[in-house]
Amino acid sequence: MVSPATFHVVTTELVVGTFALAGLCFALKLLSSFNILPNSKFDEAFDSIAHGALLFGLLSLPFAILSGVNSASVDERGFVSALLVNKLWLSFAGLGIAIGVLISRWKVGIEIWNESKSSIIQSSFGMAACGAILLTASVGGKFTRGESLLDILHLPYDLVLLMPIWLSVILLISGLANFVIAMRTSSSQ
Amino acid sequence: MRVKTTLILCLLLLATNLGAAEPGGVGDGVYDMQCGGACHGDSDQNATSSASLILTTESHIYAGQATTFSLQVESLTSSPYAPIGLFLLSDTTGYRDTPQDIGWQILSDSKGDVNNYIEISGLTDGDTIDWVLRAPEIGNYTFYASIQHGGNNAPHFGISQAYTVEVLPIPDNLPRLTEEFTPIVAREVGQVTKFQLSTEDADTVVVEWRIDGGVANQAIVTGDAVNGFMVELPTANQPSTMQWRAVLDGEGPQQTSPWFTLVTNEQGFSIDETAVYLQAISVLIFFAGLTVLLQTRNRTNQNKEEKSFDEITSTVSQEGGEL
Repeated sequence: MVSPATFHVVTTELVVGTFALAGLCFALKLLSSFNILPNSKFDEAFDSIAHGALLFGLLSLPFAILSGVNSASVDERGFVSALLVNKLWLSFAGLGIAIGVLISRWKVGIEIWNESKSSIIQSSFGMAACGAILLTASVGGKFTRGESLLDILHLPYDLVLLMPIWLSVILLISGLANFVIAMRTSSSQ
Repeated sequence: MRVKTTLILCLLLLATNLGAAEPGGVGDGVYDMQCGGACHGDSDQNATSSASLILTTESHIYAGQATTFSLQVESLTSSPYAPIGLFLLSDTTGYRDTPQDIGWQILSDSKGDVNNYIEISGLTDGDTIDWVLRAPEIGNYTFYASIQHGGNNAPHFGISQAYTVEVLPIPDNLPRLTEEFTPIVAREVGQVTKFQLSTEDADTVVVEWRIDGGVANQAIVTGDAVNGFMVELPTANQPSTMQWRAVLDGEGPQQTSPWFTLVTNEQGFSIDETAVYLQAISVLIFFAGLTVLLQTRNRTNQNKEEKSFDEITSTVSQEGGEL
């Protein structure tokens, strides 16, 4: 039987690798949208790779989160460190943004890159998802080994910004409302 | 030839043992001697430890009273094994052989917990570790100590001689701690430690404390035999190990409790898990919704602009003009 810690290593490697690839392609696509990159014949490839890698990372992410929670014994002893809490939130934020990016691409189609504003939104959110996941991985390194590559940024990993439950509920409702409005707007077009 | 080689390799693979080493130990806990079928207990794999184990306690203990079991480890080889696992056991069958299995209750161990198995790094020759146990009903009981460690690529194992103790009935008027009293074994840095000392037939109580076997000091004790004694131990400013004991006086002979171990740890992290998970889900939904909404709204605005542009174009062309 593979232990949760080993399974977590495998799944996080999948997630980090695919999200990093997606992030890179989103960045190149953004440069291309501003004509900073020469009119590239890889434009369509960037779009496909970015969203394909994001989808694959998205499928691996729940396994990484669950195995991470199990390997850190969160179920038995609760969250033993502020790092674990921040790790969970960052990964869920990355998951949410990635879902949003993929739904947007599915609903709008390839035309999403035709206009500069929508290109910026799509690329920025794609890179934000990538950033959230890379930060999550960095917190993981800090938790297990006491150091991480992003230590140079002196990020406040130990600081936990826990919202009151009522505020979380409001955030949840507003998120659902955003979804409903977006879907209605999309279906009326 | 290839088929034969493949078959031989397959046979060799099938002949291998399936096992898992735990070079870093398994952590403290309440374990039987075999420790869930560990390599150390397997006579086919293990090697005999050079360590000699000397288990001592009082030979006569009163029923329901606490006593200290001290284990001295000697003749360890110079190899720096880390960690070394030490057991307090009630027999050597490897199954249901913890002190709890014969009715004894572990009140404290050397590490601020209540385990019969302790892992220690940096143990040297002559070091002693203690367990404080509460005796069950009257009778004779046998105890063993066992050691497990690594070294020379082999799981080492050693066991002490049997040590028998006799549990006697409590004499009349013996000043003592009640059978219900359970000492605190761990606390956090800065935490005030105040507890009620439940006693029977004790008129006066003196509580002594010391740090790591140092000089004994007196703790603050308030109250009386009728209303109960309240003990206040000094607050620790840093992680440390304190020991304390009670000296009880009454009509019967003076009694001194064992040294109970109280470990002070760094403040633990605690957080409302429900709020954490709810915030995580809220953040997920919010960001997903926000991303989709921004794109669809942007697309709607774009469509409107295109539509109004088409309308203007058609109006101009109907009027025969040119844009």
